[in-house]
Amino acid sequence: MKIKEIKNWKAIEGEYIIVTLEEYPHAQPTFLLDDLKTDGVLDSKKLEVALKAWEINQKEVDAINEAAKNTPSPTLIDISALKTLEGKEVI
Amino acid sequence: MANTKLRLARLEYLTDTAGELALTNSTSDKDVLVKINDGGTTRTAIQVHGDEGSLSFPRQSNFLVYKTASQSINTGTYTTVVFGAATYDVLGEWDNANDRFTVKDTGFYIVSGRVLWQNTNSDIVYRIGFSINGGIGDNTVVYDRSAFTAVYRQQQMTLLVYLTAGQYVSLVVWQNSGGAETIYEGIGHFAVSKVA
Repeated sequence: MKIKEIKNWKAIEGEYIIVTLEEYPHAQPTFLLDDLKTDGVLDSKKLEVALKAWEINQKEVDAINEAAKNTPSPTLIDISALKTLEGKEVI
Repeated sequence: MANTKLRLARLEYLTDTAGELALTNSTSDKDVLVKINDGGTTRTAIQVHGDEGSLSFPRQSNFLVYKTASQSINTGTYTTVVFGAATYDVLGEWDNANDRFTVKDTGFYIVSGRVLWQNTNSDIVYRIGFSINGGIGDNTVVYDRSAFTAVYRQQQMTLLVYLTAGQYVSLVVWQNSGGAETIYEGIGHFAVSKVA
């Protein structure tokens, strides 16, 4: 897993970083900066650990999505028996 | 001027009277077409409809795609929403493999997107937004902190944005439930339309 870019992002609930990874162009993990501190100082080791944990979850999610993509859409039920009513008045 | 040719087919007259410049086609119910050639293909850029007098821009960038499969979204992750094939895509700007729209011409664009979250939880932040060239900014994202659990939770966003040729836009979502959450396959779209 190769880090391509790390950016700041100030959100309403706190300040995050957004990480862009070479292997995951479709998914950018975000982490609250407060969660990456040790004794009030940013700790790069904590980011590495967080990224590894994130990747495990992302792989699971990607597997679910791949399976969903390959699931054929359900065939619609034949409603020709009901369509015979088209144009008729219902009293 | 030797190589300049102005062909006026079906054009009745071009007048400048009393300060009014008029390009008029007086043939009943016939359209006025403004065409351009890109060096190989002649295209209609502007169409004035003879019956209504309304304007069309047949080559204006317009695109729409719907969501066709459900998608699991990892916690704390800006995730590109995956779509199927485009319903319409006038200039062929949709990249189905990467789920991004790359503009061919610089200008102002209206972009809109919508997703439906399934089985959402309370006190969780849900976001929908547009990623431009892979970047996410506060002004391109909707923030929604849920106050209750819901079977379905819809989020949508519309934005007017100035894009330069070659820039790409993706629809992204984000949530911080601590686990994966799902967006539904039946409802969801991404649309882009060039307005100027």
